[in-house]
Amino acid sequence: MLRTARSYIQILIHKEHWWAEMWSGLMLATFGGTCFFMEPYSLVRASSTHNYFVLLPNGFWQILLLLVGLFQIVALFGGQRWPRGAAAFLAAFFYAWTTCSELAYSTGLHPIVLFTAGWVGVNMFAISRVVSGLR
Amino acid sequence: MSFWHEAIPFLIQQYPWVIPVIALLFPLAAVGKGFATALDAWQKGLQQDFDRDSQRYQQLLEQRNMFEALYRAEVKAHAECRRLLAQHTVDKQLPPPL
Repeated sequence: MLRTARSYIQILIHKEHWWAEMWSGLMLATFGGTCFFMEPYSLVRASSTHNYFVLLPNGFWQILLLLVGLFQIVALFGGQRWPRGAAAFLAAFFYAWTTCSELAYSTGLHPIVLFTAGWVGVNMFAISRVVSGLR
Repeated sequence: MSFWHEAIPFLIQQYPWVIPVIALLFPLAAVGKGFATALDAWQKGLQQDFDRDSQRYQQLLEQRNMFEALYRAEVKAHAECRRLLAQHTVDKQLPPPL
């Protein structure tokens, strides 16, 4: 029991970035899924999701975000290097899109920008790790 | 009003697709960073190989010089020995054969 707990803690420590990407995927899928069931009017009004409506039909971009988040989780469980990098690329793109939309359509700096920018950074680090072949 | 205060709303309204295009630059920058890291590691490896090999080469040169000096000292000692031997040999002092 104690050994299992210790090995689990070691996995947690050694797979630190795995968990960061897992949370990124979970957050993206949750965001997409939540936005799917929200009123489109409030999403158009929200500056972080306004730009999606300008370029993509409602319903489509929510499913896209949901699928990208799920793809990231599946790629993490798959353990393959390049699917994980592709998932991180897509997640970084969508988080950056949300961040840029928030920055473009709002006045001042809303603190949510720091949150989404943090996920952009996490996914960018994951991409650079995959491309450079480190660990 | 400055230029950017008017230009940014105009750009966003006329060209809304620049926002995802700008967003695409972030993961692309990360790909570039990854390639740069890989290239850097490769160059560092090359430099380490070169340093190690050049160190080995210097060591070989020093060894070669040391053994050459030893050989020359030995040759000199042999010549000295022969000279002393010739000087102190009694055969030389004997009269020539009849």
